[in-house]
Amino acid sequence: MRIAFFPGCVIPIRYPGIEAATRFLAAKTGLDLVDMSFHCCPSPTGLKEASAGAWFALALANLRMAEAEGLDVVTICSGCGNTLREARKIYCGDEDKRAAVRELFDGEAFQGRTDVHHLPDLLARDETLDRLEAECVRPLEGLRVATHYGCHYFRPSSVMGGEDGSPEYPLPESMELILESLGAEIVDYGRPDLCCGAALAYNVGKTDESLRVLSEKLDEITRAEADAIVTPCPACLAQFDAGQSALGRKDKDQKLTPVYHIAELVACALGADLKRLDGKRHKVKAPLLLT
Amino acid sequence: MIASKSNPEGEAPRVGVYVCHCGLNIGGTVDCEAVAKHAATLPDVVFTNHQLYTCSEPGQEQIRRDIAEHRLNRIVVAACSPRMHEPTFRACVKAAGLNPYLLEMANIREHCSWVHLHDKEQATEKAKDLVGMSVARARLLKAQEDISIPVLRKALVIGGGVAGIQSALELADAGYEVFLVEKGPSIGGRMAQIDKTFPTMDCSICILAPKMAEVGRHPNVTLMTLTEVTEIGGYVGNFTVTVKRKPRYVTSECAACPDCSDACPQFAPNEFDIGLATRKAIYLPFAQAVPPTFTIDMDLCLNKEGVRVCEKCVQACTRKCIDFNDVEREETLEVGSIIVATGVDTFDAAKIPQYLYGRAPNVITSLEFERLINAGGPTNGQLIRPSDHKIPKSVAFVQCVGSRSEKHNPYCSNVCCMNTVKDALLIKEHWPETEIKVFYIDMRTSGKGFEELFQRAKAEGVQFIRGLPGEIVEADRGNLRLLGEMTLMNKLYDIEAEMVILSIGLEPSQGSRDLRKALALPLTSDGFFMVAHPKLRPVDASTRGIFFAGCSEGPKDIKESVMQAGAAAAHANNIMRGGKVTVEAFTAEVDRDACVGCGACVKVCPYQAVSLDEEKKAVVVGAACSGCGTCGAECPFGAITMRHFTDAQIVAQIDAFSERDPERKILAFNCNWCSYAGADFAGVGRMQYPPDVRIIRTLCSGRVSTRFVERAFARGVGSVLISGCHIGDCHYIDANRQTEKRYLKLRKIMEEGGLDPERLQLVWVSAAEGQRFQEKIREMKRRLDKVTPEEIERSTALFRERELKSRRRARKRTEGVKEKARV
Amino acid sequence: MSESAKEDRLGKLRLCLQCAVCTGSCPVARVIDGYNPREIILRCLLYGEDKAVTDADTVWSCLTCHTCEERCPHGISVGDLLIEIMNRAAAEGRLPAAIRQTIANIARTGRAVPVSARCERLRKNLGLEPLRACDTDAVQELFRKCGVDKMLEPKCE
Repeated sequence: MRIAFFPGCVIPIRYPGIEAATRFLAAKTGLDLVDMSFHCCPSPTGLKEASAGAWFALALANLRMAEAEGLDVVTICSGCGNTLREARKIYCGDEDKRAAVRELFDGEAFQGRTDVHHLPDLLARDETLDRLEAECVRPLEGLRVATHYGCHYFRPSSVMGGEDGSPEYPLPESMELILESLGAEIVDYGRPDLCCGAALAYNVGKTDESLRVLSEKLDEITRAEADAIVTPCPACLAQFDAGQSALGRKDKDQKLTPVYHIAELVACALGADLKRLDGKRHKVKAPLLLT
Repeated sequence: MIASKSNPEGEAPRVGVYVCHCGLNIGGTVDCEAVAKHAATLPDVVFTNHQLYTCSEPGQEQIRRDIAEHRLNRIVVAACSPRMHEPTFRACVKAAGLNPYLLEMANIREHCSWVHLHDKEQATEKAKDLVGMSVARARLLKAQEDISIPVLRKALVIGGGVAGIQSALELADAGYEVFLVEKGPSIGGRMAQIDKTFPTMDCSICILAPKMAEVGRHPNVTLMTLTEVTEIGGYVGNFTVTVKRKPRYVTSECAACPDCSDACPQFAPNEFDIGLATRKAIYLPFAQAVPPTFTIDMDLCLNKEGVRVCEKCVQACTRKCIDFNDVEREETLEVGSIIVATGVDTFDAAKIPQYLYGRAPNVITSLEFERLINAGGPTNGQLIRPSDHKIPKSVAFVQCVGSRSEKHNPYCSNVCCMNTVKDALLIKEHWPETEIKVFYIDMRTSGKGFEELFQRAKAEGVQFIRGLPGEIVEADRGNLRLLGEMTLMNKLYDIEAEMVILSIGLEPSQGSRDLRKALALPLTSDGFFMVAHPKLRPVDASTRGIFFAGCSEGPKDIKESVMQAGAAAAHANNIMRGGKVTVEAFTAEVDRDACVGCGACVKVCPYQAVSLDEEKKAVVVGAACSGCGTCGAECPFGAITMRHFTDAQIVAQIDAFSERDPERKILAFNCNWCSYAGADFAGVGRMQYPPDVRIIRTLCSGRVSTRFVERAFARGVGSVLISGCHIGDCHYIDANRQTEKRYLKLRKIMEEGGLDPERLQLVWVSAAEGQRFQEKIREMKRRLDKVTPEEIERSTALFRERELKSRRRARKRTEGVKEKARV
Repeated sequence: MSESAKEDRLGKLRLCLQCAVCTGSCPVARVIDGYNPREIILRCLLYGEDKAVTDADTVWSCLTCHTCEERCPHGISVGDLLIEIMNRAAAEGRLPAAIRQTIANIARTGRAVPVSARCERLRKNLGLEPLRACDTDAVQELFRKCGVDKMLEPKCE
């Protein structure tokens, strides 16, 4: 399947290993990633708060690019997925907003044809799950995994919910399906829909408060005795990774659980060259990515 | 004076017109004397008068004297809304020896003086027009006799909860034969499941069981359990009901001993105990069941599809009352009235996942609590935690679960606040050391003795915290953490409790939903059944002869259910008492000669009151007919006459309207129940709008035939407004859907004819939406101001042309019919 | 926002029962004193949108996690209201430094995160192509049309 690849800003620059992992697993699962000159999605926690109008315009500009090539879009950051999905939904559903934006683009910005998929959604499709099972060379046997979807992946359900209208309620299941087909064991923990708190740190610099939110999350995960945390969002990953590291510096007894992006685990399981996955980037030691 | 068409039946019309000042209400704006003077110039008007208060005793006395003295045979009263005083003046003319249907009212108060306060001249001209329209109608009014139909003195009560039981008992005691139909194996409903009642803390089943026994053995009551209603046909006084009687597989010889169930090897969760305990395939739902007869759940029993593999119960039963050959039967009942008491179901708390119902074992619902705390329940009255069977030392109640929520049920479920107060007191009674916290949005304790019980709970140390938890999280040892905000303290809370009880809301029952397949009963927006009037007729359905009791109409407690049941029984008694009932003379009449058997009327009747007989002619069942007029409007051949709202009368009103400057006016058709009332409401609220509109009243917007609108435009009317009840709220179930179809049809004709379709408008206005009506008229006036004389000319020509063609076709048809008759 | 959309949003806000499920669910309310979505709605209804937030800086702490909207019995979005308030503040030049920096990055490079030579080297080592250039002219044009360029000029308070 040919699809426009929307890697976002954070992964290609801060976590290029995840981009490498994605490209690897794409080749293995029949996703023909097409690169385009996308700009910032823009983030739902950044530009949107300053100017919803500019946020909408930039998002549409991105969607236009993909639509011009007749392609759908795949994202590997929940923020990008959320922004593009929401922009498309607003555009297709709100006559006033559509009219307002026509001036900016000298006409119809976008026909509404391009669909937006987040990576786990594509990987959790039945055909792909079969492929994952078949092509798995490093099964994740014995790995107790706690999934953290992150807020923007599935909220608000009115925007991120399924096409048939049913919301992802209470939580999506895509990563569970992927990980189970790779042999991992899913661990249930309390408050799985709680936010990781990332934006408090990087938007307003309230690091302490941000870490307090993270701690509530970590309490539940460590209580459930997970070996690893997996997330489809680099912002959440950075929060869990750098956050635990900061907490660990303050408290030597802080339990540190390695955190992975879903693309990393899938690439690893499908036999990627670990040197190309840049496992050293993780602050909390990520054993699966280290040789 | 223009020569008038005399009334072909009997004598020529002699119209008396009375213009009421209503103090200054009308007189302060409208020049009543001038209106009366104008009326005197109208054809067939032989007497006019204007009075200060026409509805007063002297005013009415005056009318009676004038009828005698001037031999008046039609009366027009120009005053307040007919919705106000039509019954008054009808009684008045009847007392003078005139048929009450020979009275017509012109609404020059709510629709005129009150809404054009600053436009005295225009208001007076409008009043003159309205009187002219009323006189035109009055001349064509005929004397009508209400229809009398016989009534069966038998009643059907659907639903065996406390409301159904109560109404059955009251009707049975009054001497009527009552069929009490219940779909479960026993009567009792929700009240049988509850432990104690509020505010008296009575044992619920203790006060219910005697009633259950009484209704079970009452000589006038035929108790039909495991029975469902599948079809209801007929009309008030003469309903034909088909019921499906499911097999019980146990005969009435059963002594309700547990020998059979002890022997039975199959287990399943017991519905009565909300799955907290088990039952066998052969079971008695609860100890006090009426009838006290076991029943077999064939889905659970090992003997399916006639193959007998297990006979343990048969062997154990000493009275030989098990009958595997029992089959489903259908029965037909004929009754005069029906009481719908189909009760409630509870909200499924799993729909709010952050409250962990169904995931954390110690989160239970209020109904499950009732079963646990009940001495006859699965734990013998011990409130134990499902996880470790220990008695909790701390309990948290969460209110409004599934209620007051646009996402789930937007209404308040009425009983949950008091239920929690009662539950908290019960816990304190048995385990006084238990810490109890109630998390609420509002505490609604408005009934008699309720506030006192609430204070008692607080006196016992129950803590009430305003602020529902955002989420519930599992803690150690099966405990729960509630995370939320105490709004009154502006502080967040993180409170641990050993057990959480969710106060779940009430919803319309599956039984109610199933019943709607048999009988089209409209619902209000909350999903419960709609009554005829929410204040003045709270137990009557819109369909005559059908009444509601208990929660089928809305969530309520036992006292209100019992009250409503009594009221329903009283109303049913009123219908059946005299053995006959009168139906207002608004019904449809079919001219068999003109009828071609096309069946268009049959399709649109919301009451299925019209059908085609063996000769393929339409026939109307007068008692089932509500008089909405939808069939009359639909008939393309003019074969249906709507009594007292005939085509001729309405057309006369349209023509009278069009006599003076029609191109500058708006003709509005308003339905009696919603939009006419809405326009009245605008009047009461003194909501001002342009005086260019004149309203013609019909019973239903479905009465408005495309012919009327075409006639109006053919007469040069500037704009036409059709208004009715909102879709779903139609007083005549769904007749307004036809209105919508006709409106769209007319619009198309206008568009295709190159006319401005915006000159025809449709608006749904409820009885409370005076403002909506006001805004619509303002909008239409703005548009009308822009309509050119050429546009008017074109529309007049187009519709005149259509009218001519239609008349030619009708003439051909009548000639054809005459031909056929000759042959 | 159009008048009718504003009316719709106000109508939705008026449904609020002050049940406090939003504040009870808000991760920020737990860690920042005085941050209270329920109160923001109440103040908006009682005093108007302009006075909904007492502290102009706190409002930026919203995580946009949407938990409030998801759990609210009426589905009211406090977040949408907060975004309106933040947008207005930003239009007057009052926005957190971090966000201003991010916007400046996007204007300059098309991306929210600055690129470095080190980053390009790392990419090469991992076998990845160099980063594609973005059409910054188009981005800057859109920014200008939406008035975002004015936000980038630091204001002296």
